[in-house]
Amino acid sequence: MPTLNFRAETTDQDGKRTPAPAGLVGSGPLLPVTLMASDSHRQTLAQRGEPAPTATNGFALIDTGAGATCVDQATADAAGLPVIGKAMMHTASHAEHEVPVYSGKLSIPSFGDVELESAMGANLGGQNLIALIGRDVLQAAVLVYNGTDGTVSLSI
Amino acid sequence: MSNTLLGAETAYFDANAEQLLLAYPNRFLLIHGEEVIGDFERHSEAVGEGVRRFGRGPFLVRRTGDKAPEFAAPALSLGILQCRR
Repeated sequence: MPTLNFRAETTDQDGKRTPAPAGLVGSGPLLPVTLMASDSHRQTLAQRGEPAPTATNGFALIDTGAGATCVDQATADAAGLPVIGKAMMHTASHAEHEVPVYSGKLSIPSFGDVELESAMGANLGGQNLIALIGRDVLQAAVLVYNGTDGTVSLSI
Repeated sequence: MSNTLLGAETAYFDANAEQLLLAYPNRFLLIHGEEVIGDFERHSEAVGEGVRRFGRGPFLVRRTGDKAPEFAAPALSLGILQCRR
């Protein structure tokens, strides 16, 4: 089970990196990720001699309150993820409305890939996020949030 | 035929849920329009075939017996992903 350890830290005037637990309070458990087409999608395109869609780099927030993983809709479209369903979503700005469901993959550097069978499309661009990692992914994970140290450990 | 996103596909799946479950128990269905294009053991296989036939879609992939996906993300729903003092 690969493990990713994240530590909120700051860099002082001498370039030395020191722990900064307050940073974790401000940003939450953020992971650098790449959103891309799933393996089966890429294999299908390769068999047809077509190039894979361009992957998109950004940040994902681990959100234990989210029942399902969400991906930023504009980013998912740009990354060429197929729409394989729809779901109903409530937001503060809109009454219940339909959102597309995408299939794709999150690649986390120094960690590995997380296949997203069904990721809900959402408008996350204003949050500088491309994904919320929800409990559908976390159900197969061990997550340790150490607020006093400003560290997060994720094993999947 | 519905003009909403995957309206025809979801309406077909919901209207024929029992028959589809009997015909394809615990299988992932690839549905386009009001037609079952194929049934697959794995979700990824259904998506791969959907991409092969329909590109980015939309097309519907659902496992027989599954209800429509429900989504809850309180922080997103309430618009409080970032709340600063």
